[in-house]
Amino acid sequence: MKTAPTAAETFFAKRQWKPHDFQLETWQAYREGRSGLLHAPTGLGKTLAVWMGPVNESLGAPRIPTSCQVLWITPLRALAKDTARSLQEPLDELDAPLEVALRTGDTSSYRKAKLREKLPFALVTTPESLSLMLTYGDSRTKLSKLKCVVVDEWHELLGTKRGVQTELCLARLKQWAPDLRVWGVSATLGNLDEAKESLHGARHKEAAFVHSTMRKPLRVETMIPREIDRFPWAGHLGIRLVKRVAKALHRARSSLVFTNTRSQSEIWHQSLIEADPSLKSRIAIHHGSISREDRLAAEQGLLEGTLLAVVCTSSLDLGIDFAPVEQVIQIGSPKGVARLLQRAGRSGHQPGKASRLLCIPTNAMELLEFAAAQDALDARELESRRLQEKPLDLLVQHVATCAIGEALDESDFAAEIRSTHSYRKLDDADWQWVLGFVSNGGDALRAYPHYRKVERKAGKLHFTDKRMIQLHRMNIGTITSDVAVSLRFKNGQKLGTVEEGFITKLRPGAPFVFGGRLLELVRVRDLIATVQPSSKKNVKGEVVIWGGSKMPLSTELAHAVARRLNGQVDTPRAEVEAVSELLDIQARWSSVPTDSVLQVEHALSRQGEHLFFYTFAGRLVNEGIGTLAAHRLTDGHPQSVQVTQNDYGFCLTSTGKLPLDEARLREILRPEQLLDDLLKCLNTHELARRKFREVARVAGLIQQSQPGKRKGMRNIQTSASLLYEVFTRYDPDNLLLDQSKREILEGQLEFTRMQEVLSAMADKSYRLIELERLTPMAFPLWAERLHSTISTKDALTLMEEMLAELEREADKSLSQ
Amino acid sequence: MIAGSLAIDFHGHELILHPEGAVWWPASGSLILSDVHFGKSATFRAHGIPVPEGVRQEDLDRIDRLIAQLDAQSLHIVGDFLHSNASIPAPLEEELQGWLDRLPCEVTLILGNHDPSPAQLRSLDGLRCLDQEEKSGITLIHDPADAQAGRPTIAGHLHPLCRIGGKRGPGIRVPGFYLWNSCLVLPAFGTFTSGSLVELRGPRCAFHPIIDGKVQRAIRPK
Repeated sequence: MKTAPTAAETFFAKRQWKPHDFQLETWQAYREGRSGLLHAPTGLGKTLAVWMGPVNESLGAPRIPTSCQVLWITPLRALAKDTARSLQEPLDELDAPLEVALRTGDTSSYRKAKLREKLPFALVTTPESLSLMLTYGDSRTKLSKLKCVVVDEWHELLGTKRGVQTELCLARLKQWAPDLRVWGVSATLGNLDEAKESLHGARHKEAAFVHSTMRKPLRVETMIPREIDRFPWAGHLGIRLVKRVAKALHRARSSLVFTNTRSQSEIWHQSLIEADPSLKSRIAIHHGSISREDRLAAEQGLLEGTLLAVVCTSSLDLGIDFAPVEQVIQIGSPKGVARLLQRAGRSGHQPGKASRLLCIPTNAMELLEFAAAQDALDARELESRRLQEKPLDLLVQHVATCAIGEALDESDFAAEIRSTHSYRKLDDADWQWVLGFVSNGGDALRAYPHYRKVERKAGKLHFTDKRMIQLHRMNIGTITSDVAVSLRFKNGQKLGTVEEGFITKLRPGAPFVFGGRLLELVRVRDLIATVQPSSKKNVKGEVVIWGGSKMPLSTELAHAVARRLNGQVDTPRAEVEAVSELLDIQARWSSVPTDSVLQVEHALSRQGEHLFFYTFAGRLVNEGIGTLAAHRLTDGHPQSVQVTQNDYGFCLTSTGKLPLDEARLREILRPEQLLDDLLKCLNTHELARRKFREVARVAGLIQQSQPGKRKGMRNIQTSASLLYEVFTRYDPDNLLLDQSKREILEGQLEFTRMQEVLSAMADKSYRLIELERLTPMAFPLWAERLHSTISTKDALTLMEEMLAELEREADKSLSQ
Repeated sequence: MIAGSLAIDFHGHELILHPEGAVWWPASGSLILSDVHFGKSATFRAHGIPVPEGVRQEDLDRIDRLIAQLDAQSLHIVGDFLHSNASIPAPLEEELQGWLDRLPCEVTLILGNHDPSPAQLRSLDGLRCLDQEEKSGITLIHDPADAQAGRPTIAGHLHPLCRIGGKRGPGIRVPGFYLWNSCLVLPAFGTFTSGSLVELRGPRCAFHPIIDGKVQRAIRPK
């Protein structure tokens, strides 16, 4: 007997589409009552795969449900509208009496009040908004019939505190609706297994895993410079290709030009216009610090196809699909395989079109990185996302959040928290500390005077003080907005934000470039910098500099580069061909470093003795290991040794002797006592103090600024560094201090990776080489040192002299 | 000479800038300080924000020590002695009253924006509250923006900080005494206070940073 067609079948038939295997598989798993993780590339119907399951079920039910059945969690609120639209489409076509609505931070208070009265069939929301919903007493009843939660773009949330917040919310919802199915959607990652465990927590074994084997066609091309540095120096900005890039923009209807930093995007935006003035009104700029209005205008221009290109940073890695974008241009190495793939995927959204990516190297080593990234893509070796282990600041927030809606049973709630992946190993001491901290500040001895937040009575937790609840609700979430100086015109129009350190160094009248405009400073007052368009003609304004470190080369990409250098990969690529001369000189003067041995070069220069270590460990790890090596080499007096680093290695420089002696080198690079020695040689206190801002914000110690709601909040505003001092002095055992130390070790120093690198190094053989002169791979490390110690002008002169000498020698060598 | 201090000529008056962040005016026997923000952490806790205690008693002890060291006849606080717009919580009030009762000199508070209203302060015995005070040719006021142009004024409110070093890095922010037009702006005395960078522009601007327990010579605009 034939059963009636499902909603999905009817919809696909209407469109004359044939479902993909992964869609059929997902619908089937959903019908069987299973949760799961769907892994599929963008643009091939993954939304329909997870959406039509619950739609089938509801439309096939004897009575169409009237309560909320689906929550759809999206990582980006800008994405919510677009998502709601694509969920609505099949419903309209099927004439289904089901409603989709959204609730995000952007939703008006009128709409929010409406949603408090009645929830729709499906609600599109963000982790923060979902958290907030948990604080309303009637949410439990309203969501008790919930059938499905979809977590879209799970790979984006994975490994972040927002991801952990999602895990915690899901654990709560599973208590409310025990038959709840959870479906995650993820792009390709190195650790999809962990992505699944993390999403489904204690129930991950029962969850389905649906893979789509389909791939979106991808065309990658690298622009090969006509002249290639044999001694690449990362310090210059590599805009030599700007004319050819400007030309390339005209080849496509519209392009996204990705840069790695905000300053770089400003520089490229300016340089493109200089190279081709006709671009002036046809390209725009987009990054995290320019105002929302300007960003929206750029996005609108892309959507409507009125702009030829937008120069952007990771600010456009995610977001609405800009159908007209035909080509993506990546300026400089993306430093990771997944990032390259993701950015490429931002083009060619029309069916049947390929993603097109044009790579622009800014120095010669980046040619190798582009080649290696393609090798890794072919082999599908993508980066993993490191997961967050039980962040206590978030738990502090979440306990208070949940205790608002209803009185919680302490032990049931502890079990619920431990059902998440992130807190599966939460021990009782930590848990008791969290309960103490949210209730009265600590146990009997450590309790804070006159402090009561969550009440703890007879094994129950309840948060009832109305004024405190209001404040808590305003601070739910984990996104920290920067303390920054707001840039405005005299009429009040906001342009965006810059860092205080940059603007305080400018004098009134000084020209600078921001958001693609040439501006001059009028005055700075109370974190507001008033500016006006610069009247000066033909001046090159200073480009705004934002702090924050550059992304380090990922482990996967570093290994892929090493495989190229080893000659383990022999797929011919133009990029590798282009740097053959560089590698040739490296081989003649020393040897080409690889990751199977540790190559150490020793050289003398006018500055003293140098040791170059090629670790392939990424910038942050190299900085850490370099500092550690200097510390151990000098028995704790590292002042006499200087450390410089890049993604491939680090260099020690000293006016005294530096030993090229394997036993000694092995000793200073030993993996033992890593943590102790690191804490001794790094100013972890200072670093942790800076990190404390984020931890304090999540734990509710620092109030998020609420534009327009600031009045009355002034009394409880303070700076994170002050709080850090107060806690260090008066409550030194506070676990939040520990957490910021841990986060700094992992985030700023990649501690785990450093450990792995040092252990691996201990098992490698060493290749020690005495140099006559700097090699192509040593030169950038040498140049980096000049850059950081003497004035730019002197550094340039010295560098040019050195370059001229090396080039002469290189010509000699090659002609032999 | 008091260790770490620095004497300046302020419109013909000799003032001693004390490294604790206060001003000693020998001619009038007055100790002047600003922005103690007493009870700030308690205000945080009352809002459900967990901040440990410990700062409060220490700041009062520091004031006691200064009065003893200088043998001051009077104490003037140029605003934001307290940190609570609402009424003073009972335990704080007790503590304050005990301190006021023990003080060997008289205390004047120039009201600041964080202080409770005079009506709420009335319950404290021995605290004189004024909006501003004229004293031997110098005006004491809380917010330097309210100062009369050209008139020698001692004020607070700004919690002035100045950036030191940092040609290549971010540098450090240090508190200090800020001279601005005819005003001397004091650093915040309270331990649980931060501050904001002040502008060093214009000919009549200077900043005396406090570094390593020593008031430094003036930094002036380049």
